Amino acid sequence: MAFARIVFDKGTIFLKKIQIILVIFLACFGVIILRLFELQIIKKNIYEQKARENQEQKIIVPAERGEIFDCTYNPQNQTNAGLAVNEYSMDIYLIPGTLTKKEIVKTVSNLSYITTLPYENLISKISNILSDKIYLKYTPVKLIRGINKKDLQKIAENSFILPGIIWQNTPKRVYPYKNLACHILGYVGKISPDEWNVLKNDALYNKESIVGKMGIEHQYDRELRGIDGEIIRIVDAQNQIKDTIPAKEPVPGHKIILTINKKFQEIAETVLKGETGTIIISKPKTGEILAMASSPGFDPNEFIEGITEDKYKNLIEKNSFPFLNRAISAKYPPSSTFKIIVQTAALEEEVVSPSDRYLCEGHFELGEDAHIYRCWGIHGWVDAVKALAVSCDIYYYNVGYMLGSEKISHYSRLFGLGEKTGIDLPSESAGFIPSHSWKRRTFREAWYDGDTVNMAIGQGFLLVTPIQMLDVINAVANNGVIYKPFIVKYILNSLNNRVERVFNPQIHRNIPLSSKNLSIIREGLTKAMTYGTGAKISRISRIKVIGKTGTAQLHKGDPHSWFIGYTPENLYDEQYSIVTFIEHGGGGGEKAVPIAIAALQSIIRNENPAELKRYFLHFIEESRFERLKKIQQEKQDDDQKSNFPDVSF
Amino acid sequence: MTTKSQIFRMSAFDPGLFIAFIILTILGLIGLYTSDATGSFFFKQFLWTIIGIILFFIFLNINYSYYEKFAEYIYGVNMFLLIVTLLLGITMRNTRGWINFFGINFQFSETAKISLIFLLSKYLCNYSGKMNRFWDLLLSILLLLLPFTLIMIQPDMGTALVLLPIFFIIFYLSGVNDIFIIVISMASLLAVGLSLWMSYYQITDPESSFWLYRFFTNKILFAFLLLSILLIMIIFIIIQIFTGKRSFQKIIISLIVFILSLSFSTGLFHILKTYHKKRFLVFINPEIDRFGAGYNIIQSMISIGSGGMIGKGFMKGKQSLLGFLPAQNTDFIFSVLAEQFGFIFSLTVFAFFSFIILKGWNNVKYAKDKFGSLVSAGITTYIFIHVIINIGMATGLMPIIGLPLPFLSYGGSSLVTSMISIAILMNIQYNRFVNV
Repeated sequence: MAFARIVFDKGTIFLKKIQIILVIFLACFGVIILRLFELQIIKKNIYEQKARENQEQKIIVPAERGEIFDCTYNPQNQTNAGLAVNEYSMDIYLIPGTLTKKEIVKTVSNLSYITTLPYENLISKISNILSDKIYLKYTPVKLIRGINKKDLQKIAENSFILPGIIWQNTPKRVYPYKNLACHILGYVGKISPDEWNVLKNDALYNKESIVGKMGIEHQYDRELRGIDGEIIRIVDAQNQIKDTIPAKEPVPGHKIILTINKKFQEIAETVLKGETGTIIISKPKTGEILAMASSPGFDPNEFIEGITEDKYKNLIEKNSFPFLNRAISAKYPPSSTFKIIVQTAALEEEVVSPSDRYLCEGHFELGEDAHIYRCWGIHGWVDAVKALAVSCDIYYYNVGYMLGSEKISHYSRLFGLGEKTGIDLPSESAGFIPSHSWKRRTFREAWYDGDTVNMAIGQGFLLVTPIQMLDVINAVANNGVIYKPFIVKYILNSLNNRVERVFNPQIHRNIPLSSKNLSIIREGLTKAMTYGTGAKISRISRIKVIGKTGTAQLHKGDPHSWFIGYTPENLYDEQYSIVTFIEHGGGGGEKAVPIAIAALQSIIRNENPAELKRYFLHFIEESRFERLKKIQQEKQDDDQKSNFPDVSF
Repeated sequence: MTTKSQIFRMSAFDPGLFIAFIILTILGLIGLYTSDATGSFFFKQFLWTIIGIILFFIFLNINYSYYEKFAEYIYGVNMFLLIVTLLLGITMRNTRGWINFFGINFQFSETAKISLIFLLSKYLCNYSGKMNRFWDLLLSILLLLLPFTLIMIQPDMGTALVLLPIFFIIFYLSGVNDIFIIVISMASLLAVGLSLWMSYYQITDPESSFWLYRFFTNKILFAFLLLSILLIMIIFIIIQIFTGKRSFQKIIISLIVFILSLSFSTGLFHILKTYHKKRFLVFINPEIDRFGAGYNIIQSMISIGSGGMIGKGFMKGKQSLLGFLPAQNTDFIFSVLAEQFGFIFSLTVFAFFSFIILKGWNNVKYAKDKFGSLVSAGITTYIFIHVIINIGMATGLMPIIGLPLPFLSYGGSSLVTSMISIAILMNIQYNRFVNV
């Protein structure tokens, strides 16, 4: 075992080298230990947090949206019919998480293959994700709504090739009565980028929130939507769910009980069918809106998912503005209904006395150029009551001229014109009261007396919304006290039906109307229905309604048809007021009155509204025909001047 | 009549070292058990442990002088086996590094480290002090390059790279002229460092107007450099022939080395693929390859960091259990355990490895002959490098070079080789007093 070996000289250099290397070794170890100390002790919390972010996905559990009911809702009752309710469907979502774009695309195409749904549809839903550079989000994006059991099973069985796919029972907003009260209820949809911009700092909302877009859904969105919950999903590196921990219970949104009565609403919508216009029925004593119908309408169910382009175009192209709630958002000239206000002004300002009379020969001369203003008929001597009853324009030309536009505007404002009523619905319009300065600014013309005179009969630049006219008639019905119109009665807690908020009637205007003057006006309105412009129907109707007609003349086409009225106090179980407006309906007495009476009679006497409407309109038509015949006859018999062959009321 | 204890004392058995590596192996087994649901890794590693311990006891009492005698044969056989691996070997994880014997896979690149250590130590200990001649230097470099290349081709970059520090340390200790060491190390540092630096620009800011970057990426420059080397070498030879002077020798050699390293640097830059570069650079900024190599580092650091002082508890390492940590059985076994057992575990591991390193290094000082000294140095270095790189990688301090952690990482070849290495160390230690 002996080898030739050089004697091992462990010189100092050698020893030094050994030392140097050892020191280097230990120094390196030291650095690493320091690093471990840094990671495990100093930065422990940071890394714990990152570990959690790896494994935990915060999934938002949307709260159940509160349902909307009509005024007959009874918490004891199990089967209240909701106007806006939630139905559940099993939906398929994608949670992008840490998936790369490629993986997402693969998952979606696998999904498309398994469910035989077109790939383009699915991928379009996450197009905004794909355009992001790195997408690390845990908010689920809905790919499929309402998957059936079989497909769900297939998806579950193939979940390993569908990373990021989860399924969840999600609620869907449903409007079981379709078009009923569509303008009141509104609809819901996914939050738009603009809306998100406004709401991004609001804890109640996130980028995928469903929000109310119109009507009550929009107006009371905060109360309806509740508070979203959170669950934490523990996932592994393949995004497979290992555990689910509920972190925050969702708080369901509140129930909203409307003042609307479903039956009344149905009746109102039935009589409005085929027309363009609106009906509002309320309780003058409280301001509660019992029915608010606007035609044409739409089916809010079609908007939940996002309406298809074709359907939307269809709705828009008809130029009939189906989304417009004509009751509160449309502006029209009030025409003869405005005379109530003018009369009030004239009497209160003592410009005329109740017995003062004017002679109506069908025309009224005004100004140096003797411009002629016509009346729709020749009424002879007319006092306040008759003026209202037959809606004589000459009387009001005179009275209006004497009052002057300032006073007329003043009283208009007292009655609430030119201002929103403040009803709890979005998009209310304030109407318009013209002024001298406005005219100068807009037309570069001075205010003429003719404008005043036109205004006095509710034509000209003056514009009102039907709900503003509701206030006007409510003033008459309720002794000059106007209660603010409102449409939500209660907000209830969905879990225990506890009342979260109750809306009590509020007086918001008091008309300075002496009881004497009030009774004059009431008499005028009563007579209008007995021998005046609304008398026709009174012959066959079985309820007593008093009110004022209006015929808004237009440049072309049939005039618009107004009627505002109410049932006398204490005559029936409840006192009702009604505003009816029919676009291009012809004379007020022709369309608006029969429709309004049909609605009220249907309500009060529990009769069929469609039949009543048909019956009334037929009667009007017939009597018009008869009248025409009679006039023809008279003309033939009598060569002399005849009564105005007027066919409008 | 020798009692058992006497036999033990007579053998080279060192209980301290033995306990150290056994405990490390057990820790590794625990790690494998917790990170692998199927239990197959744990089971296989357990079997390899048994085989390793048996081999340990066999090698324990082989007098290391035999290695000196048969160093060339050992080396030759190992190189042959490496060639066989390249031709007939099994490929796992993109590396053709294993040979299959009756159902068992073995990596001969692991044993190549030991074989190189033996031969290099033998060669250099016989030539110490007089190692100034160019050709001797060249031969030792070739001894290194052969296994280096064979392993690089597999391609197992990590194991190949480990050979370099081993080579350097043995070289350094063998008494070779320091200048060589310094020059070569500086040249290689320059080459690699420059290449990496330029790669960083290439990956993060390819259109950068940094003058050095523009100059560097110019392929014409590369050609220019090669030409200039040629030119200078010719000049050198001419001078030598004419003057016989050696005074410029050092300057000229330095120049050659400098230019060589630059050209090596550009060569490296153009030859290495993007993913190689990314793997290297990722430790500077894990975001460079966020979902690839960067992801590994990020996840490893998260695993380690979230372990805290005492860890999350046995079987409660969510990072590993839920699969966020990749390569849990091999590259990142440390992270798996650090997550579960915390800083206390980290310190323990370091304590044991430090103990092994210190003991090993002690041999370098006290071995009775140079061969034993150099072999001890080589073995200790190899263990040290593995530890530094593996744990450095796991903590984000080192680029991703796949190296197993001795005794802990899954891998029969690595485990067995490491255990045999300890046996050799024990033997050297034991024989320090024995006179032949």
